[in-house]
Amino acid sequence: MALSPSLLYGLTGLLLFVIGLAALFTSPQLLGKILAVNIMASGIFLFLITLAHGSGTLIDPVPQAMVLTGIVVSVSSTAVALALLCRIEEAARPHGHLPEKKDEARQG
Amino acid sequence: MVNPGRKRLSPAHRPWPLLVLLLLFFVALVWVYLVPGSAPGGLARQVDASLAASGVRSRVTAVLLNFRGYDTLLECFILLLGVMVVWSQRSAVTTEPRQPAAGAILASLERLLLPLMILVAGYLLWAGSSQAGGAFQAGAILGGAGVLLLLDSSPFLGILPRKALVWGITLAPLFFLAVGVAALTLGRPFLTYRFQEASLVIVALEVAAAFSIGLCLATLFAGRLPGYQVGPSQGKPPAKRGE
Repeated sequence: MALSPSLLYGLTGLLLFVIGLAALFTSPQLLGKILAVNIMASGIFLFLITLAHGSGTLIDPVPQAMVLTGIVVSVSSTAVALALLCRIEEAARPHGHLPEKKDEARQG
Repeated sequence: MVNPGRKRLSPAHRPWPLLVLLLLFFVALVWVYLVPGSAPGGLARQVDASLAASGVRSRVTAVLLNFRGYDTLLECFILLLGVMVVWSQRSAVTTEPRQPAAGAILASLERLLLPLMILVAGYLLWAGSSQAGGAFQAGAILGGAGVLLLLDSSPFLGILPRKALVWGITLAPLFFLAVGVAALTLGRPFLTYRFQEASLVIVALEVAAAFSIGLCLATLFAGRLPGYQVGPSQGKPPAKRGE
């Protein structure tokens, strides 16, 4: 495959996905994990749009529609995650620590 | 107390094996992407072939609301589910959502932008049947307008009667479902339209979806159930709680 903008977009999409995955696994904070999932989603969207343009002049509208749907779904899942995060923080506050700090507290 | 011999480190503290694995994963993904013949032709040709029967001229809109209407139906329900989950976290979000930002600037920006945003949303909705645009884009702009209002801590979601808000949020999913079930009762498969009425049904669905998506997005941003006061001293939530 020749070096082309669409190749660059596709590779960038894959890279974003993997970077997000790494952050999802390694981030000690829940907010970081939520952001990581969003970055993964962005990578997938970019990749899908690149695939839609694919080869040739005919642009495939199905992946484009999937991305449109996916954006709305990712917004709502982010909102749900943030609401749960707020709830977790609230529930943890009386105990003096947040759940994600537990590791350091135990090791310290 | 932790037994030092059995100290378990979280991935955050020792990320290297994980990162190597992820690097291999990335290489595998790239290989799958680049290996020739791994990407089949896609569905562009099929979409083009049946576009004339779909009732709209925009291919993306035809996919979203006709060929793959099921996806959009489920997506409307996912938004509804999101709002339900956020609302069920009753005490999760602070009472007053945000500090009011620079009031005067935000207020004048709001006056300037809100009519324009509604106009653009209407245009996108209208354009959706023949070119780029449609319910999602219009809904996103409407949602943005709602967020702008909320940023100014204007409690428009709280002023709305609860019932109207709930009906507005459930409008698109219910309407979508009704259209699908109507097809079933008329002896056609779920979520199919007759050619004569496809255009009309799709436009009606798009208007409903844009409205509901916008309202859902603004509601998700607002977080808590509007009108519900958090805190012991501020009384009970207004009505509607069984009791």
